Amino acid sequence: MKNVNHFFEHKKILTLILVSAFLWSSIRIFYTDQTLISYDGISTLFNFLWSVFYLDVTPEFLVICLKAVVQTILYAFGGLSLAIIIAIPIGILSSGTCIYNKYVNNTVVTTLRFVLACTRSIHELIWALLLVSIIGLSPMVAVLALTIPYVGILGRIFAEQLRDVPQQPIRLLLSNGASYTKAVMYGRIPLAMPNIISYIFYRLECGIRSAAIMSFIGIQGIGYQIHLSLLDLRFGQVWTGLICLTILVVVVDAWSSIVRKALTS
Amino acid sequence: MNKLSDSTVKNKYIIRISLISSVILSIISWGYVLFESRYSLPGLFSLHTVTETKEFISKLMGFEQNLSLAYQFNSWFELRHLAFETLLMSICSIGIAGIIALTTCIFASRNFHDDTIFGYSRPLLKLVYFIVRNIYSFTRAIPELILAIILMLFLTPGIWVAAIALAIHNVGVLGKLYSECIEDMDITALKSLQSSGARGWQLLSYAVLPQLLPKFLTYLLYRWEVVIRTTVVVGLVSAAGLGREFRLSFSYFHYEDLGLLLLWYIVLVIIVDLLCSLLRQFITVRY
Repeated sequence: MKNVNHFFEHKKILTLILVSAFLWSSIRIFYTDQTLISYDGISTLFNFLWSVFYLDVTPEFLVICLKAVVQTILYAFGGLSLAIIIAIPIGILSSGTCIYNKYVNNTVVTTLRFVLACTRSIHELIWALLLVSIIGLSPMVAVLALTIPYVGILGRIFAEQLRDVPQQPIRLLLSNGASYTKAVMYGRIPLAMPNIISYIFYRLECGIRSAAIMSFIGIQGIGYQIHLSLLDLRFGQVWTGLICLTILVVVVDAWSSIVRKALTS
Repeated sequence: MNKLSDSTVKNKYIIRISLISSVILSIISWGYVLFESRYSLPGLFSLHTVTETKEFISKLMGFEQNLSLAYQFNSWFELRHLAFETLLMSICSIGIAGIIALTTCIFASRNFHDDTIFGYSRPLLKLVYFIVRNIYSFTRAIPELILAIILMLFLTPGIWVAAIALAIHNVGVLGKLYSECIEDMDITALKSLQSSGARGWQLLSYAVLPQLLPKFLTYLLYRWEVVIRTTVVVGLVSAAGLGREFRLSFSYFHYEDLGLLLLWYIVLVIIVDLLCSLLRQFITVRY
């Protein structure tokens, strides 16, 4: 055990591992993919970059973009709200704090953690692809595909936050005769609430970005408009769409940071 | 005292208004989604969906062709090259992103151009600050998938497209995290070095970097875990790694291959999680 501790004290080993992994992987990729820029790629690149100055700001396209932005926001909010509703009971159960029986508690916690890890480890677009082949193409797919991985992420964070609350109030409640469930209801949830809300608002920005890439399976939204314009090779429209997406994400980010600052102070 | 209570009241209003507006937005969005999918909604909550799901899962597991996953160990093992390619792609992209973010994050932190770090303010660097900040928020806002689709216009399809798309997105994410770290830095060591006459590079390399490098590496490892999850998605459009096979077998309706690919995907995610927790032990060691 002592040897292991000494091994991890050498920071140079970490540097060596990281640098050699990066160099080795890039050399391997250089060997497998030798050409980087495709035929006529440079001129296309300049064409693409130059068209920043030819933004498509006709009212028609701006209305289309605005509609797409609103759709993206709605999908993100739908997915996240369902994820929060599902993740609250799962998070409480998988925090291992509300069941008194030790064996029942352990089995519940391990199974729920495994399920959460599985849903979390698969990307939302892969979930969307799988769901499309089950229930067909509808806005429901986008919402459900957003919900499944976010249940995994939020459930894990809820469980961690509920476990890491200050222990003194909980002990006081328990010693005064409250049951485990009541300690969770009146002690842990109110104590963990600010952190949980701030994490949800932090995830909102990620949810918007995830909703934007649902375009790949044909769900409407700002990503879909960018994809369509790119297929038409209208780079001006692509840049307009990208700037709309950026403004959306920046606004949501500013909102969430204001809320988080208000919660922590 | 009065000021403090004023700010707490204001904070309360901010929290209340944003909670209420987000609840209203969620209700509107559910109304919209249910309205848009009204034709498929009765189909969604019926026995048909259950049977479809069962059939799909049995197809994924390969029960249809009597090729369940357990009997396909050979073909599972043959996919190891693609999984290895995906792992390389993620390492390379997070390396590029880390290097670029590490070298540029100092320009995007507010205390670089005011007088906290150097002891005197540099108004010209304020311009650089705004440019770098805006580049970060632009690259952060655009998802990796859209970046990969754009990059496919002028790069040859392969691992590099995916790696560069992931790198560009993660430069924004890591750069923002790093510059926030620098802004929230503890400046006692900095002040004592300043008073003993350290200047410029000396301050950066002896006060800023040693204090923040563990945090930077923690963020880098955390992003690596996220990147390995996104590699498959980027591979869908850039024809690299597991994503290419994923898309091909989806188009050919070879669902039993899809099950194997998903299995490899989860195995990769688990491997990277374990590696990250191993490497984190270097960082969290206490003397």
